[in-house]
Formats: sequence, structure tokens, C-alpha cells
Amino acid sequence: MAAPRYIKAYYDDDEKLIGSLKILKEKGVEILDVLTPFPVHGLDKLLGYRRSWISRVGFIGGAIGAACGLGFQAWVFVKEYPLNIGGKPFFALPSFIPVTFEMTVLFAAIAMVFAFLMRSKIGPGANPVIHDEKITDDRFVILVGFKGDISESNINGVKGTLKDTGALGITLKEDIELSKNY
Amino acid sequence: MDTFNFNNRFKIPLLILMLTGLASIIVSLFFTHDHGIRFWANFHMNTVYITFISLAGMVFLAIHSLGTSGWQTSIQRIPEAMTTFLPAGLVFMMIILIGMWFNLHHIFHWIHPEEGDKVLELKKAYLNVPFFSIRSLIYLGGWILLARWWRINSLRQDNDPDLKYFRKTNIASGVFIVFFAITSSMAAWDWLMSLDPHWFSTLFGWYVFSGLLVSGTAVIILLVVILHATGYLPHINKEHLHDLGKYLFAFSVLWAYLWFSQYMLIWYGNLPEETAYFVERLKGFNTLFLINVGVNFVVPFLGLMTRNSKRIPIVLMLVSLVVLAGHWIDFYLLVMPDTAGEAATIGFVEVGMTLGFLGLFLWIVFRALARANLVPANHPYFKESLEYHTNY
Repeated sequence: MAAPRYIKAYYDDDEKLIGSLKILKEKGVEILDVLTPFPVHGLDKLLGYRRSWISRVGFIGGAIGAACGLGFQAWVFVKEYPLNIGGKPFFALPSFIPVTFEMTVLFAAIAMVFAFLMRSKIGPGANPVIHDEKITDDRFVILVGFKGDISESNINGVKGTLKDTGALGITLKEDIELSKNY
Repeated sequence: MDTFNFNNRFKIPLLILMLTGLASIIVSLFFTHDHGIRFWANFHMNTVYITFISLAGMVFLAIHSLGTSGWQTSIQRIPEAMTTFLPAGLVFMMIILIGMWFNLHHIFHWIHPEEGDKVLELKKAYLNVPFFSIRSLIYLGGWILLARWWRINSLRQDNDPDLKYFRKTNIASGVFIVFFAITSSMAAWDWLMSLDPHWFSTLFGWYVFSGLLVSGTAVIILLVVILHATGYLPHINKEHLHDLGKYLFAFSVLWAYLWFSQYMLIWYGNLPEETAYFVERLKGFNTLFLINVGVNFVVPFLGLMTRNSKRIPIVLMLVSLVVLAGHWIDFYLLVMPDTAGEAATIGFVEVGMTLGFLGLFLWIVFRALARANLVPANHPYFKESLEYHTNY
């Protein structure tokens, strides 16, 4: 017999979703993930998500970009190929600023995009798990776990709770697909 | 709804500030030997600086009104009160204009151009005293009328939930934004750029406008924090401060962008008639010139970069104070080298007069705050402002 992994509960309204999440949290049910077609207000606080560290990645990427942009220009125009342009000094800082600025923005943006793709496990070459195609359209899904207790009574209890919160559909996901994949 | 109580706790410090300003005016007129040049230069600089700060209050109201945003409604009485300084700005500008008509000061060199100055002869069609006076009165008159129209309708809304007053403020905002887009640039040319009538810069108007936004936002933040700390506006929370902090950050970066664009183009082009402006400032005002860029860009950029720093009132307040002082230096560098020239210093006259203007400005603002409810309770977006959340 395949081992049960989690339950997918479907909703058709973001307010119902929030209300049901509050009930589930009160009852101590394990919430693995929530999938929504658009950002739902207050969801991140309800799930206790910490603030994203993507802005730090942006800062570090930007700092590296600024250093690379300024350093490269200084190296080219002072050491490698000094040119007298309009009698300006070789280390002409004001003329380096626009390129440095663009490099800062470029590096910060690229660093954040790749950090996001890697952390979210999406992008080229990834094998995304699509729980239901409807969640890109008009459905909200809560994935509910069992805290390791996969006895039939516990599963039925969780199912009952979900039904009480107004879930439209409840599906039990079992281990069998996992073994197929490997 | 609670109203602001303008009591002695606020009045006495402001009176001291205004007396300092009065003392500095007396000192600069009767106890210095520079023929009043420092008085007129400082008077002009502070008039424009504080008038632009109060005008920034109207810009704040207009952009939010036109953007149909709701978060600002719980603090909107503060920029509204700031606009009530504009008539005082008109009075001060009239004093400067009277000084021009009766040759009491020579801060505008184009009034009496030297013999054979072809550039100024050609510019005479635009830069002459009657046309200059008419333009100044049109700018200030338009701003005052539109700000007054806005405020009257906003106050009427408090007593009457009929939304027609709200719609009228929207119309006033639209008219104001168009009027302001033209007049802000022109006022910057007339009041600041014409101090050096041979010099020109095409982005000068935006440069002054971006400085206006920064200093106006800093004043709004300071007033919000002060009112909240003294027990008013209890519904203001970190979300509102966070958004104001974002404005301060973004406008500071915009200011730095325009400052640098102007500097780099002139530095790169290296044309004598354009570089004269920076040569003058780099020779006699080198330290202030560097402090100006450092303080007005680096402090808000690094100080308000993280999310947390925008949500801590003390940090926001410190950065606002630094930026206000920084933009005072910016105005000092705009006005002083061309007017006071070699006589320019920073002493009792300069600091005292600014404190005096600040005292008068805050007096008028607090008086206007005390006259109306501190919150526009009938504003259709007021509830939205109370429940406002911002994530990043």
C-alpha cells in the first residue's frame, strides 16, 4: 500500500482560504504550502514566512557590479590604454559614474533573478511539480501534512477539518507517484 | 475627532526662533558693513527655500489626489497646513520686489547690466523688473489660489459627507499639477538661475524641483513624528512612516541624479560660459560643495536603504534633519556665490535668519493645524489609510 504524503484542499475564494487557514492553524494542522493564482494579502504573515533575503542578494550584486565597473574603467583608462581625451585627467571620475551606475543595476538585477530562480526551483532545466493547473487560473490550494502520523484516523480527522472549513475538493496524495518518477 | 492644541509648549520655542530671526535681521542691517548685501541675499534665499517647502505640501497633496491613493489621508492635514505659509511667502517676495523697484539691493545683476554686455541686452526682453514682478506674482498667486481652493474643499468635507467636495479637490489637483509643471521651472529660472544671468542650464528647473520634493518630504516626516510623539495622530503607524521614508529615499536619489547630470555635462563639455558656475563654487565654496553632495546623497541613500531603517521613527527623523540641513546648504550654494560673493560666510546672520523663517513657518503651520480636525474623517479613503499595510 502506498504511503499517504499530503492532502490537497481546493478553494475558490481568497477570503475563504484565509479563513480556513486560520482555523487550521488553531487546530494545529501542519500546513506544507499554499498555492494561489495571485498574491493574497496577509498570507505571508499567516504562514509565518520570514522576510525574503533577495534584497541582500541585490545589494551584494550591486556592490560587486559597482566595483567591477569602476575598477575596469580605472584599469583601462589609467593603466592599460591611457588616452588624452579633451585634456581631461586619465582618472576622470565623473565620466566613469554612468557606466558604474549601469553595471550596479545590471549586476543587482541579474543576481536577484538567478537567486530567485534557484531558490524557487524554477527556470530552465527545472522539473516543476504542478499540483493542479487550475491554481494558475481561479483555484487556491492548501497542501496539508500529517506531522508524520499517517494512521487512518489522523488522516480522516484532517479531512474532516478541511471539509468543515469549506474546501471544494480534497485529494489525498500518495507515495506511488514519487516511485514512478525515480 | 481630536484637534491640535497650539499651546505654549509649542509657542514659546517658536517665539524664541522668530526673535532670533529678528535679531539677525537687525544685526545684518545695522551692524555689518556690507551695505545690506548679506541681509538681502539671506532674505531672498530663505524666502525661496521656505516657500518651496510649503509648496511641496501642495505637490504632495496633488500627486496623491490624482493618483487616487488612500494611505496619505490620515496625515494629509499636515501638507495642507504647510501650504498656508504660501501667502507669507508672497509677502516676503513682495519685499524683494519692492527692493528691486527702488534699487534697495543689487542681488539681481541683470537690473543694471554693464555697458556693452550683449548677452544681457538680448535677455532684457525677459529679464526686466516689470515682467519679473508680474511673473513672480502670477506664480505665487496661482499657487496660493489653488492651495486655498484645495484646503477649503477639504475642510468643508469634514462637516458634510457629500463627495462633491472631494471631487473638487481632485479638480484643483489636476489644475495645480499642470500649473506647477510650468511655474516650478520658471520660478527656478527667475528666482535662482537669474542670479547669475550669463549662465544657463536646461535641467536647472528639475534640479530645484527635486530639491523641493526632498525638503518638503523631510518636513512632512518631521511634523508627523513630532505630532505622533506628542500624542496626536494615534493611528499613524510604521506603515505610513515607511512610505514617507521611501519618498525621502527616492527623491534624494532623484536629486543626486539631476545634480550629477548637470555637473557631468558641464564638466565634460567644458565650455567657459557653462563652467563659470562651477568654477565659482569650487574656488570659494569647495568644502560646502562637497558636503552638499555627500550629505544630500550618501546619508539618505545608505541611511534609508534597508527596510527597517525606514520604519524606525528616530532614524527617519535624524535623516530628515540631516537632509533639511543639507538642502539648506544646497540653497546656500545656489544663492550666495552670485549675490554675496566674497562677503558670504555662515555666521549668526545666516543661521539666525533661517531659524527665524523656520519659526514663522512652523507657527503658521501649527496655527493652521489647530484650526481644523487633525484627520479628514469624511474623506472617502480615510478608512483605507487606517488599515494600510505595506510590505516592501
